[in-house]
Amino acid sequence: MLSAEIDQKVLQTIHDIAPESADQDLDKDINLQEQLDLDSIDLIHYLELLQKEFHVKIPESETQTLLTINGATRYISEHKPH
Amino acid sequence: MSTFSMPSLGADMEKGTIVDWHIKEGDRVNRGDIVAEVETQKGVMEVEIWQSGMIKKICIPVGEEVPVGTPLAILEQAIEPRPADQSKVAATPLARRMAKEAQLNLSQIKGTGPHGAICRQDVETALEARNTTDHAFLSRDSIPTPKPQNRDSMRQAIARSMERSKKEIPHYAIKIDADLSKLTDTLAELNLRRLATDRILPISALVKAVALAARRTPQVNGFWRNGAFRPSQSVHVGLAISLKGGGLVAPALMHAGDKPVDVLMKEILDLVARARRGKLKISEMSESTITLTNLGDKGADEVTGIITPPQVSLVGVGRISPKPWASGNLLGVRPVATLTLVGDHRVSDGHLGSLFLRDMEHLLAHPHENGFLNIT
Repeated sequence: MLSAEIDQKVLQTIHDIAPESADQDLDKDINLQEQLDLDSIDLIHYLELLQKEFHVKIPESETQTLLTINGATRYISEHKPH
Repeated sequence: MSTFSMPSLGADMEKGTIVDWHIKEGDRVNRGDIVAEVETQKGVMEVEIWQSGMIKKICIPVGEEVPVGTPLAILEQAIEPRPADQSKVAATPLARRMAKEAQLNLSQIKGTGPHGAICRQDVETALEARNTTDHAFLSRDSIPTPKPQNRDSMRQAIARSMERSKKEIPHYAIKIDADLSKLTDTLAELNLRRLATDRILPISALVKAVALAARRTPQVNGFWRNGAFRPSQSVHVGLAISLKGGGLVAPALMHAGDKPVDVLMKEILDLVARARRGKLKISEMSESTITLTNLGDKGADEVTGIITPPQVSLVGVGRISPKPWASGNLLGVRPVATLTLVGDHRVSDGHLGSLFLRDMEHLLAHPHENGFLNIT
């Protein structure tokens, strides 16, 4: 899967948990919690959706990496099973 | 034969529209199955059936609006297993008489008296459960989960409920600060060994603390009905969930005090997801005995809310944030949250409320005691 495809699916995942993000121009390097009204339960739902979509396991220590769009795309590219 | 009728989702509901049937004629249904989705001015709710059997006929098609009480489907009831010999069940004479009058089967009631004998309170609890579930009734002002297009009518429903609460309930409010350093440290340690998606958040410990503390101060747990307080034997913590785009629901986490925190966490995640998708069940919306509102990590420092009738208390927890904290003669910085209790003065007072809050604070400040943070 190409990086652009992963990026697109990550954005779709964000839209699923924060519908208001569809109208926003998100900065891909800034923490999503700073840009959107996301609580800690939303974040778990976001990580669950990424896990399910890309079949990656996300340890607690990597959570911060996945909270930016570019961080998530990079992590998934590196860890997604081929 | 029996009928499954349009349920009432509140005293001001007169009509409802069938949005979807989850069953068809000839299907077998079991007690508790979700059989339909019904739209009211307050939103769309999933409706459960409270009898088992076979659907003989569906009387009302999708899209039709009908008054409350209209038969929606005809059910051929399953033959219930022969009841156990009621004379052999241990029960007090009063409980026996009350159960007979109410046509309750004693063998299906859990006894809490000596040697498990059924006493008056057990029958009252069983009656309470039947009243809330058999007719799929919501408490008068409960607020169903809305679909997005119904947010305005939901705001109106919240307005009615809160207005009534402020007019009728003499509220009092008390608060206490809790040092949550041991709780947050322990959870951080636990979470390091888990996947990020299995993370246990402080909310699960807050729910459990509310449930356990409410057991010890029963005056905060139950309902004010017909001019009197009816304590609830069980503690079902309603969790206030804000919906994206506005609105609020408070579905119940059943028997929250009996569950390990990791199980509660899974239930909370499921409940929040379904609340935000508009997929709550009527039973979840009607069975809270006390409500918790937690402002979360991005919220304000404290909250003094309004009780949801017919409940008699509301517990609030503000944001956990670093604050100066005196311990012995030393001043340090600890993660602190302000716990508040808003109580109904007809039922409890500041003294009883303080006992509840102190219990809750103790549980959260000493999470290693009595297996409070045990996980499966």
